[in-house]
Amino acid sequence: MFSRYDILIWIIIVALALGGMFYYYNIASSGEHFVSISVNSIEFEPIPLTESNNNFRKEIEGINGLTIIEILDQRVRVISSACPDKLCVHSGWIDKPGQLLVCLPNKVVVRIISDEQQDIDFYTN
Amino acid sequence: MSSTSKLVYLSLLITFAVVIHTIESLLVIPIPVPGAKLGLANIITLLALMLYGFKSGMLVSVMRSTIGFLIVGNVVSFSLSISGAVFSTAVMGLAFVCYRKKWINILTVSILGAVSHNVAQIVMASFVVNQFHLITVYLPVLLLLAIPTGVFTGLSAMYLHKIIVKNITISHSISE
Repeated sequence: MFSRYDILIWIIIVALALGGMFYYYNIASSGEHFVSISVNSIEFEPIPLTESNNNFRKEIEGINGLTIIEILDQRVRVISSACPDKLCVHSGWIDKPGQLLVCLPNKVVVRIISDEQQDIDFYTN
Repeated sequence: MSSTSKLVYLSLLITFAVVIHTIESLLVIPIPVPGAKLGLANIITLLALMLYGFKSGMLVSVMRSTIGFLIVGNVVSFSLSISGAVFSTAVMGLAFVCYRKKWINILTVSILGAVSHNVAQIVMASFVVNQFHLITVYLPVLLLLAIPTGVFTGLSAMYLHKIIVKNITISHSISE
């Protein structure tokens, strides 16, 4: 039922996809990284994830109270948050572009972006 | 088959496609990639292509996008949806010729449709926001997602085609 052309086409598609992902991953990790914080979908000025911001703490005023994030060794985590289940605290460290820390009760979203992809925020239908 | 029955069946197919398109636009897909869709309406496009050929497939997909736009869409989503619909139907029409010659099977036709749908949509989306790195960011993920969704739509169209062919001949033999 599967001819050799089928297999060829499938392999080409998967190879293009994996190759593209690998390529993008290299681009994304080569650029400068930023920590983007948004509260209730209002975005703050991104914080560069560089040596100068090592051991940096920021208190974010959320819907229910304070969420405190810490930047250390070019990684980010939530130290404490005014939410009942502490999922964001238990998520631990993030250090790659595209990774997220989300605190839904407090409506706080912390994500790492690279300068290549800063203002992509677009949804299709 | 007479042209009246073809007209009726094509209208029914367009209706199914519009309903699927509308329901699908209300679903929230838990993948953080813009443009990621299940592409369930492609089932009907593929079915029209199998039953009545290229022109009808194109008619169904264009009508589906246009009527879907009137129901749930906005101008941006319409431009994305129509470009995806036209390009994927054109590619599926070409692939279908290869299928008729038994070079490739129907799942590959469907996957090629899903891939070209995603390609057209992401290219159109990057034109709309004028940011072409969107393509490098999202196209690989969309290509990989096109394989499972393409297999699913292909299988659905294949079994629907079997059922429809069987039942149309049955209803004809009863009426005659």
